[in-house]
Amino acid sequence: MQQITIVSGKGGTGKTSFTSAFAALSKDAVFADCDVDAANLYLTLNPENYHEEVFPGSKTAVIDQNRCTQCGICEAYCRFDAISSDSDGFHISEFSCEGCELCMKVCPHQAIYMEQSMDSRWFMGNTRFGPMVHAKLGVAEDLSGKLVTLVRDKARKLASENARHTILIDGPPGIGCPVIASITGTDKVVVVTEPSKSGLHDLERAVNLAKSFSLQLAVVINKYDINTSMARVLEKYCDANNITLLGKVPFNTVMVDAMVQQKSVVEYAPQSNVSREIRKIWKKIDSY
Amino acid sequence: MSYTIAVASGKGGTGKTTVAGNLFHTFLKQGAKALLLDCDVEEPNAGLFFNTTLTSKIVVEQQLPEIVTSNCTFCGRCTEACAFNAILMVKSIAHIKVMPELCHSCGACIYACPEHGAIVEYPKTLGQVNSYEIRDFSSPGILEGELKIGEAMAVPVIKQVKKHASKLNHEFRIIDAPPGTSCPAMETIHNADYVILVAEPTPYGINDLKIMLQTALKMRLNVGVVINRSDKGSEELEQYLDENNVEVLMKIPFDKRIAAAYSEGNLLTEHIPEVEEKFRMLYHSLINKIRINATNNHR
Repeated sequence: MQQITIVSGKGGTGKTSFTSAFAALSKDAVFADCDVDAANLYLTLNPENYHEEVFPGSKTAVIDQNRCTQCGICEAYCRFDAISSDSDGFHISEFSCEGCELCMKVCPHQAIYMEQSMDSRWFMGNTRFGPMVHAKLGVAEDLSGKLVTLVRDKARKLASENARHTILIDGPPGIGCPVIASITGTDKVVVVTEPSKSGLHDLERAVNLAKSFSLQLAVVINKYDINTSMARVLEKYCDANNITLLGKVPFNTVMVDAMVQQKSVVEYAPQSNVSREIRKIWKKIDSY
Repeated sequence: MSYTIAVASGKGGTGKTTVAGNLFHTFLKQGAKALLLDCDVEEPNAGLFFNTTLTSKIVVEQQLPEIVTSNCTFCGRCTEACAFNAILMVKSIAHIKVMPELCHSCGACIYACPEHGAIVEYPKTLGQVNSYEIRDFSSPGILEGELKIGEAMAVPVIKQVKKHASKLNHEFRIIDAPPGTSCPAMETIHNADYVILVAEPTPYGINDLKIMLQTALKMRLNVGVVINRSDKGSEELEQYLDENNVEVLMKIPFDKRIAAAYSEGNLLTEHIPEVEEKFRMLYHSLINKIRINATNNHR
């Protein structure tokens, strides 16, 4: 079994459009959308979900005002500056609280309890190209790294049950917790970048992250003709760092048109210059 | 008193940094004492658009616990106390270990440990806060958070950027937020006075905007939307915003000149007069909101 993760460092470079095109070209893959904060792959792959389950989310501390004697011990112990007081008493900010439960333990009056969020969900479904696992992180919810790990576990299970040999993972932007959870232990990492100063900066950080985990990686330059001289800088960067450049894809509005039609670009405009290049890239990914 | 405007979006690559950077530039040109905070610490890019001098670097550290096995009785209280399962203990072989990638540095293990000196803390670098001065403007400048590559925890770095900003004299704080709706984005925007959501009118963009908007409204934040690359499919998005009583602050049509200026790391407000005018109008409308807000609070 091989696991291929599509990441970008910078957001909006075309990860999900590429993942859906690769999904259409794949022969025996399972698809995992690990961008659980802003999941979009389902909009193009349209899975028919046959399983839905709650993902127990993060816990947040809450003060029972009837029991609180305003001693302030909890505030002194909290390392996340989540507890503050005003004329109405002590309060815990649900956005700063990391759910460590220390305040609950130090409170001498048992005035603090934990509340667990039940807003996040994950799904298994069938798409026209194969099985898919995806998730929806609850509004203002924490723990996206754990949800990513769960999605990947379920995808692996589906792959072995269905005798499929590839897991195609749509990753989140950035280089932090959910990205690390998306790429650890994958066989191939494909970084989609764009020819801009920010694109280069973010590519370098994404490449260094993948290298620090000793992962095999390769690069795709999307919309390369928006700035051909920046695209050459990106090519040189790949060359100098011994990174496989899988291909350069031109800017073309068919990418967005395909998205509007809920299709991958290789289905919507198979003869376009974009689709021709993507088919070549997929062949290389499958074999590198 | 400083006023905080955060620029955020659910989806990446919609133009957050473009809006934050050009808005900041507009504030500076209007003579406002403005500070730019780059809280997209995983991929900080806002500084690329300005002519800057790095003036200081402050290391952001996390206190990591370490178990001194010679003082440990393997009672297991620390493992029970850890809400993040970051301490692994196998009593039968006297093995105990903290897993740094799971640890939140909350101090619960130390509180739970009944022994003396069985758990000690040592600092570990998570990233840094870089301060930049901007040439050509007398401004408090730019504070940029930078997560060290390979580190998972962005939130402590973001907190330090905000903490450091409070020490600097300024009237306005403009924040470039990270994408998404989970912890780093929430930490960045939760106490902003106003949040600008940047959206693009594609199916993915609209989907992510809806999620982000729900999040921001749940947090009781004041929100307005900037529609970027607004020429295609904008009607559906505008109708949705209208139905939800959310103001469209500005629309930026797709323009090759904008894409080219951005890709070179140039400010639109310096190179494209129509866009400069749009940002000036946005500046005035924001200032107006601040005034109305201040009067309401006064009452």
